[in-house]
Amino acid sequence: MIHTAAGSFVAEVEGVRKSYGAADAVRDVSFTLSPGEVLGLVGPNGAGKTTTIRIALDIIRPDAGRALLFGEPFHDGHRALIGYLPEERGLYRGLTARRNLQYFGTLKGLTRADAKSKAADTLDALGMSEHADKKMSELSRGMGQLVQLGATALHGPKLLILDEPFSGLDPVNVRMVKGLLSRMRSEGTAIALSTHQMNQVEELCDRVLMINKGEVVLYGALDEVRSSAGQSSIFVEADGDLRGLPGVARIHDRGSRVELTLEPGGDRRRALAALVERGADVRSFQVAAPSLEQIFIEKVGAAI
Amino acid sequence: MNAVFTVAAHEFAAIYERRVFQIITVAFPLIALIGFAAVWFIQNANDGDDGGASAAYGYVDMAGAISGHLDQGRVRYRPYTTFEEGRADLLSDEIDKLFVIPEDYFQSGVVQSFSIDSGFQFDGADSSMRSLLLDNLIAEGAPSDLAARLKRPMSAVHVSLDSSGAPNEVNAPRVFFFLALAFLLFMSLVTTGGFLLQSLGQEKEHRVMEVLLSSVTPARLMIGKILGLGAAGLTQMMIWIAAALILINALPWLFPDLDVALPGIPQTLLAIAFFILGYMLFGTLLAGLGAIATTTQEGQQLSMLVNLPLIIPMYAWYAIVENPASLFTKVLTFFPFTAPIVVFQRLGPGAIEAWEVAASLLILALSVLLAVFIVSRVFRAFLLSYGKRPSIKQLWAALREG
Repeated sequence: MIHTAAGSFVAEVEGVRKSYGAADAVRDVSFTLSPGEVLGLVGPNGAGKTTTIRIALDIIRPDAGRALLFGEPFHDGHRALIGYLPEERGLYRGLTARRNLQYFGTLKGLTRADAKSKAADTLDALGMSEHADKKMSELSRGMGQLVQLGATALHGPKLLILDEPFSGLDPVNVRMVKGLLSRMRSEGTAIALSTHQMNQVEELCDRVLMINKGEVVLYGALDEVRSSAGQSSIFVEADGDLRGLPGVARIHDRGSRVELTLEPGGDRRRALAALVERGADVRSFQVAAPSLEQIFIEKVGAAI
Repeated sequence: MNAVFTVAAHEFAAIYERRVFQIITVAFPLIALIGFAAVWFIQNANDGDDGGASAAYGYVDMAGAISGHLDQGRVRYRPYTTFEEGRADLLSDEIDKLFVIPEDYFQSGVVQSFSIDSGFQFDGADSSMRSLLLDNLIAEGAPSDLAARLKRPMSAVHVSLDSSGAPNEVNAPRVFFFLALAFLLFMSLVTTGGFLLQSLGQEKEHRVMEVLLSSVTPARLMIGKILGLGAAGLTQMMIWIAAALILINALPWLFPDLDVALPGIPQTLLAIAFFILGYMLFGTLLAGLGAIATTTQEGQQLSMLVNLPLIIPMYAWYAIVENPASLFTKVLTFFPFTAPIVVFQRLGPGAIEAWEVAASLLILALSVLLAVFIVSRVFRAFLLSYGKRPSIKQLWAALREG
């Protein structure tokens, strides 16, 4: 049994580099992950997120730097403590959901009897009991996704690494998975969440690691990251045309509110005055740190 | 180690759950039975057929078993009073074969046949001699001490002579037995190897591989798969051999010489050693091909590189059995890709030196170690390369970096 000493990290990656031919997939990437913490791993496609995860899990070896799990270099005993849901994922299509879970449970070190009972419990918790003995090829994409998540969490891992865990899920299942993650987090499981959905990072994560072109461009607590970006956003609840306001560079619809991103040196008072002059019905006007999505676009320079 | 056995058990079950594998495993003994029965009927039909090429066989009767009936269809029998006389005629091609019926024939049933070839031919000579003996036994009125011989008039022991007339005993039923084992090994390697490739291909295509690699090391995954494959192949072979033994016992007229066909314990242990090493070599190489192939179909095509050498001894079986000491046969004996099959083929006639067996076994074992060393590196490097086959340069880099 491996215990994480008080104050030590579940995962610690230091200055890793990995090249394929002449191209660097990742360069000098570092981060830590503590028990009960959720780290958001964000970046555009091809940024190096998957390579970073594979290095942390010893699936590939770095050319430089090191990765520690539970305070020590990766060793075989760690596999039973990890749950990994890769982006490119699948289960045995010719096997039933139950047998898939049992197989991956025994691979993670559970006895056959434990794997059998935990597979049944997991399927029950995911609302999949009635589909337990259907082949994976007979399940819908969303159901398959739930079974896949079940296979990742079945053995009670201390470190959970999830790459786009919500893709393919309907809102009901998204809520169910969020509940599962919240429960595991409260039990001390460290979670690394790689996703393109910034609202989910803002909702679920304590800290964020942003990678672009193989390099870390942002790393820290979510609040710090946002506040360090300056008070350059205005969240407005208003009816009327918001286009062309003075000093406003971009407009983003955020559901019930609209985020106005100010130009460098832009004056929020001029923007408010212009709104009032247009006769817009302004119900709220809040100056705030920019959203993570806004920061992402500014740092990465690409649309999500 | 548990992960290795978990993977092995999963692979074993996955192979046996395949409908195609079940059909092959069950159908093969049935097809073999039909084949044997067809050969038996054709051979027996030919025994009474005068249409074939005529032949002259000699015999030396020390037991007083033959008094007449010397015309047996296309074969004319010529009596000799001494072995030396008969051997002289055999060496000068006056006769095609010489049978020696020893003094204790009525007790043992043993009849030796001498020829200047390997003694391993489908010429129906044994059937012809059986027929001659039966005709004579029946003519004698079959007293009680001949009853056993009437049920089984002859257990053939073949002896080939070299050009100087030196004898070399050939046990034709045992040759057949080992040829059959070689064929079963070939069939089992090809079918189960194909399933290993399919399994790897599907794991890559369905993106199961990365999930697996977070749970088990590439080396253990590879070893587990090979063990699962080997266990499936061995079980398949055992099913076939058990089916054959049941058939042989149920239908003794199809296999009259079983008692002299079965090998001794040393030969059996050697056969098992070659069998296991053969599985490990081919399984390891196929696992490597499965890792670098981008699709299941490509994996099957690449597997021809490994399977092709296996086919050579299957096609050349007659040349190997006929000339077990030829340079061609010796080269195949020491070439690790053909060794498992060729050694089986040579164990039958017993025409293989102990040092040859030891050297072949050593080369095969070293080849397995080398294959595991190389393939484990390739396996680790390319299991997650989807849709793009690695270049020679990348393969070389993977081998160097480990």
